[in-house]
Amino acid sequence: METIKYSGFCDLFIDKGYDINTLSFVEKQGFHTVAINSHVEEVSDEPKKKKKKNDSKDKKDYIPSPLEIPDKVKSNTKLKILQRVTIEFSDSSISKKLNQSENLKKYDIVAVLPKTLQAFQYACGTLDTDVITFDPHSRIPFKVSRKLYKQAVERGIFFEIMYSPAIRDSTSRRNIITTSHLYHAVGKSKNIIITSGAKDGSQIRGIHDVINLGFIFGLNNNESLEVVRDNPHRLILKAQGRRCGKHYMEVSQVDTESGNKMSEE
Amino acid sequence: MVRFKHRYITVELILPKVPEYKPFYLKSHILSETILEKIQQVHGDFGLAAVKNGFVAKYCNENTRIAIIRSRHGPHRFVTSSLPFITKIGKLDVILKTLHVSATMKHSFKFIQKHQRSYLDTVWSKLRTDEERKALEEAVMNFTKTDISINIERLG
Repeated sequence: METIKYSGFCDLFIDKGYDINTLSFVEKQGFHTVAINSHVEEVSDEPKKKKKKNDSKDKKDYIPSPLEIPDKVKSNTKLKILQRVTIEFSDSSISKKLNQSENLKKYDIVAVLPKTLQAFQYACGTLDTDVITFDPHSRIPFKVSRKLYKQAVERGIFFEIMYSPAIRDSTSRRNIITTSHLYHAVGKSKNIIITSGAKDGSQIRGIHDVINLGFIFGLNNNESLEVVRDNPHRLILKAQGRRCGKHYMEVSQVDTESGNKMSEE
Repeated sequence: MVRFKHRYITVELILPKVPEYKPFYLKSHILSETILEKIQQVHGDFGLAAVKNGFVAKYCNENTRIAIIRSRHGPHRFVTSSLPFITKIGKLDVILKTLHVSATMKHSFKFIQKHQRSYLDTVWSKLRTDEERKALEEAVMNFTKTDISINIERLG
């Protein structure tokens, strides 16, 4: 299996609709690693009769395959491009779908968007995921308890705050600030990552600006730097560990200051 | 005696719709009004009142689109945190990119000088004659000619 390469400042949520050819702009803003996101909406289950009729071979994968990135684009930038998927769900039946999905293995990072308290509990407690995110268009419809948050932190799951909806409109801004302050109150802003969620270049901000935004989201100077650099690194390492199974160790040659990388599930 | 501390924020205006290598003219007070309006929107009355004392925004170079914002130390965090939310100046789309934050004007200038030099390096290769280059160098390096120091003293 190929190891995921990453370095520097990370923006782990760039929308699929973003024009791939203008990724150089992201590079100019000071980022080194980006993740292209595909969003999977929750579909209500089809009637059972219909399911029986369809052949199992014919059955479509619940998760679409990731966006192809042309080699030309890859060779043009120094950016490390990852693939990420965000899955909406409202109860634990999702895990069956995820287990069946072949495409899921093609993604580097798996994020979930829980819609109910039950889903949130499941995501924090058992679901094998990397990121828990939320919908900026509405407030979180459940209460985040300290216990669940702690549990998620212990399992190495990260909570996401995206800033580009905040730039777009005022209600989203309020929701995002409310949520980030909630995370601050409940879990001292542990295991937070800040991402853009940008749909085009005008919604991406320079790295200094993102760090300054941390002030609004209830982070201090140190934490603001962590959320765009150290935490994503830990996240990527963890995601890599998840894909490899229980125990995994990678020893690479010491070339520069980066040193040995080790990951254990 | 305690010093009256300031922060000097150097920002670059990124204009997606304006061709890159043309000078872009802007009045400083328009920039300053846009920023204050945004602070009012993001941080409310308290934020605006805290920032207003000692706030100056100065647009200093048309070629590289550099501006300096001065703010009191402390409330400057209100300024830096609302800069990313600015999307428009007047009717023009704009992105403000923070380049540098410093405590003294001297360091701010040092940084800008370096920045301008690197800009020149990229643009010079596109120009043909030496005269054009000279003219551009003068235009770019002359960011002090906008009399920032004088204006800041007068306004502050």
